[in-house]
Amino acid sequence: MKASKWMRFIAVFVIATAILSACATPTPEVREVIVTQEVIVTQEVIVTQEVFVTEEVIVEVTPQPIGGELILYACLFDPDKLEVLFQMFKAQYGVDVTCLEMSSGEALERIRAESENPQGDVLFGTTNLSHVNLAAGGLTEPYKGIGWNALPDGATKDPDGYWTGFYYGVIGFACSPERLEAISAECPTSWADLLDPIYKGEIVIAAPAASGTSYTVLGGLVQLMGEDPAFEYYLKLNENIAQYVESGSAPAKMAAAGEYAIGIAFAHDIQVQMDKGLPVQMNFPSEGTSFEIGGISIIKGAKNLEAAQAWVDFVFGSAFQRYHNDVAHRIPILAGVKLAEGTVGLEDVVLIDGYDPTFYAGLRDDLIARWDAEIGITR
Amino acid sequence: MPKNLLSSLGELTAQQKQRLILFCVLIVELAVVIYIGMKLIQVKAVVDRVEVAGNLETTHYRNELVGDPPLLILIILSVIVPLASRRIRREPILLIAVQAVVVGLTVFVLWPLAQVFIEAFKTGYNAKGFSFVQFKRLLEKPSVWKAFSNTMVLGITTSFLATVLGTLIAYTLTMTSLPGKKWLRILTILPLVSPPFAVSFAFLMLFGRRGLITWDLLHITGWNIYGPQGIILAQLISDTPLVILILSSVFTSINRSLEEAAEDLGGTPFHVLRTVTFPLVTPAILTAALLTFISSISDFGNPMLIGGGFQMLATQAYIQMIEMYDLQLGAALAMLLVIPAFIAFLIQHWITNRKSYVTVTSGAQTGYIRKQPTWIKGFLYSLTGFMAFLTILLYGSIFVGAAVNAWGFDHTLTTRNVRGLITALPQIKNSLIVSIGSGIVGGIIGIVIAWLVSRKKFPGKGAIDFSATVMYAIPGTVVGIGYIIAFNAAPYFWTGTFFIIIIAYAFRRLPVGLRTSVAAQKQIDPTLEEASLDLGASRIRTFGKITFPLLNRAFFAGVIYIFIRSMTDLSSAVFLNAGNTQLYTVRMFRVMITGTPSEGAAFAGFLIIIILIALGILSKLTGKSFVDMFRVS
Repeated sequence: MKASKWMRFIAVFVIATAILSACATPTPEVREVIVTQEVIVTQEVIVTQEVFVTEEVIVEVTPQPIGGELILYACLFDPDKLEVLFQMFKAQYGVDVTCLEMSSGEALERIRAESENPQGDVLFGTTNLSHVNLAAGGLTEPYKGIGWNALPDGATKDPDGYWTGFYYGVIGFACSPERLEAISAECPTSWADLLDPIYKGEIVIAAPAASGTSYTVLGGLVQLMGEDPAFEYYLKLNENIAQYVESGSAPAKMAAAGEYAIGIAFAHDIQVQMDKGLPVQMNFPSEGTSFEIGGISIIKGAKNLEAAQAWVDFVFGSAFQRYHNDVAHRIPILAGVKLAEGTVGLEDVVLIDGYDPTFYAGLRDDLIARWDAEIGITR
Repeated sequence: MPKNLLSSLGELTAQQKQRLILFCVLIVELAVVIYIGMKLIQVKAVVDRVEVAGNLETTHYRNELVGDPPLLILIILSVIVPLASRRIRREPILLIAVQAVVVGLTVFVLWPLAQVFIEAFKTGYNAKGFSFVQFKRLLEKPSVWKAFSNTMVLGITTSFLATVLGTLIAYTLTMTSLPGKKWLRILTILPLVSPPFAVSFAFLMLFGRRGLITWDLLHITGWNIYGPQGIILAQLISDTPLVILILSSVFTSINRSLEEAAEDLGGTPFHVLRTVTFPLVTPAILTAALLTFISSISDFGNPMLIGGGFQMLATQAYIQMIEMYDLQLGAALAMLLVIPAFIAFLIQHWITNRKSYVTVTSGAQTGYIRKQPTWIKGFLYSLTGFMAFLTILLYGSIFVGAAVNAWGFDHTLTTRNVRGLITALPQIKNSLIVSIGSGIVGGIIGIVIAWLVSRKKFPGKGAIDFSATVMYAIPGTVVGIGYIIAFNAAPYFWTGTFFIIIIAYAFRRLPVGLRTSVAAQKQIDPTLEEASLDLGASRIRTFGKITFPLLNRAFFAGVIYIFIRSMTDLSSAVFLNAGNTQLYTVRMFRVMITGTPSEGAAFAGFLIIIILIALGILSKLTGKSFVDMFRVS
């Protein structure tokens, strides 16, 4: 008897809870909005396109105070070094910028996990592969800003404005002179050179699954050689590889620190190591090198949309593009922005003919699965 | 009128009073549950369609339910289920405590873990239904089995070596007359105050391919520390202290009269060791072995830094989830990792619950000195000395490395790296907020659960104890992912707040805090409290004068443990921190991967100093000695 009484009580408890929570539900409403006249969007963007002598396209943005804050995800470069730009942005727009360092994968996973309640406003940097993924998942918002309009149609931007490229990164070989001396070898100048048995156990590269940098190499080599020959090449290269690391920029650091003779990484990551005063030499493959288009996109549902759009425009301003090139060594995407001294530009390297990072973004899963099955498994 | 009511209250029988109190409690709880329900499930008006006729625009809205109905059902169940027991109903305080604990464990332990589990059985993101497709994909991947066997072999190796090493050192520190034991004890457990991956970083600085000792001093070129050998070495340094702590407390609590009796009866020292001492410490050794096994297989930072591409499950799960953007396959991989850890945990749980080991005595003993043959003494002393020396070397290199321009290239002194730390002050502040918060929250939860588990009898006690400790078997990456999936739904948005990081750490590190509290509460003889009550002291006075001072120790031990672990955690932090809650270890790990060794060393050294200062302050506050601060079991 006792037990059934309690069961009854519990039942009442549940029902009461359910009813009471149902009572809190507002009834559906139909609102009528009377539009008195057609709304014409007159978004006036003041762009002073100063065209310099050598076709240098400089986009000047006229700032308007916005205030509030802005959260950037991924952060392509050391946030401390970017602080100068954040201060400049704050001076112009009154916005406090926070940049949260994370790898492109971490950023993607977070943006997706937070999709119902975005914590970040802008995915700032990382290869366009991430941006293509985000756009496909409906996680970003299109914005055709000043930069988008200034770029020619093509691979450097999304046709619908979901992302805009703002820098190039090219793949290079980082060499440690000290290590090379120890094995009495030269810094390689071509992909073919890397197969020389003299480099056995002295080359470091990231695993393509673990790093966008390494996938850039894989995609580029497939474009350069064709898929099957590229994998044959990898199998031979595998003999010389000391380890497949988990971070794209680590090979540059490892070569710079003299741990291995050669690291395959983005030229900007290698140059950052050079800036630290470490002995490191940089070469580019003569057959042609692979490259990334670093992009920027606005996260869907960004809490600071206005500031986010202002930041996307700011990124294409001359101040940003120059400083960014000077300190982070990314190659500006706008044609003819003057390069900082000692920085590698697109004209200094041979690019792989016909390589389209956006196209290869679509092949990623298949190529990586094949790489894992044929090359990764040997480790 | 009030007088009437009061006097009528007085006339109630004990049973009626009890019912009245229960009724009031239930009313309050109903209100709380309804409030939570309204927070969890909300109805949002969303634009359904927009019709435009002429210049009249009609926007139709439709109601959409946002929130987590299953979570609400779980909460309601957690509140109701304890009511089914008459024993619990009879005591309102017990009832509230049990309900609160069950709700807490359901929401913050089981719910996030279930999220990861559910994810592994989905075909894709946001997909509905149940499928084994992810596991089929795993089977098709040859690399998965390699990673699995690698992880197991490495886990067993590390666990075996760390247990042997830790047991020998603990024995040396407690049962021999080695001079300078106090300092050696501090040195051998020092690695606990740094993140495990700082150890592999220091190993690279000293013994790497470009290490100070291997390259600059000895000019060895064939040597390579990258790979499983490096992971095992780094894990040995970071896991052995745990073994030392567990075994030291057992060695000090062995009742020496048992051994003396055996010796008096004519047993040879070896015979006594085999038949008396060994059976007494075996359960503790097994526990230590299983705990180091779990810690080794779920380690993330060391394989990333020093693994040299050696495939392990924890890193593979991370790569699948994060770099390959495939949450479901990553979750399935995480399941593969959770299963062996869980089995180890079950065995450990079973061993601990047999209650057959550790003759718990009140008051710490220092152990007693046993006579040993010289060669054994020599071996034990040199082993302990070597560990202490290695620790000094590793941590010394961190501090020296931080003070020079570029470790390995330019050894001129500079403050550049230390000055660079100024930019990391916000992160250290965040880490301190989170760690102190989770220490206090976890300490309180630990005390409450320990009180329930060790003092009260009620059905379902085992289940509570189990759920509270199960987090120990869950790798940090899995916890992080689980929390992100579970707590970023509308309408409560907790991801990226200090609140959720504090809660995550408090529950993740609860198992050890709880064990400490249980051990402490078992030491408090209930007769002490009864005596106090019998002598006329009120319940509150008894709690304040007897129970609290005795619990105080356990509380602070739990707080310290959770604090240190939260300060040094990386694997969950990677997922849990956000824009304004960036944590220090995440920044530090990135600097170690991309910066110069000296920059990384500065970050590691700073963290160690901050933790030591915090421990120093706590040691002053609690009046405990510095070594005692590390006593977790």
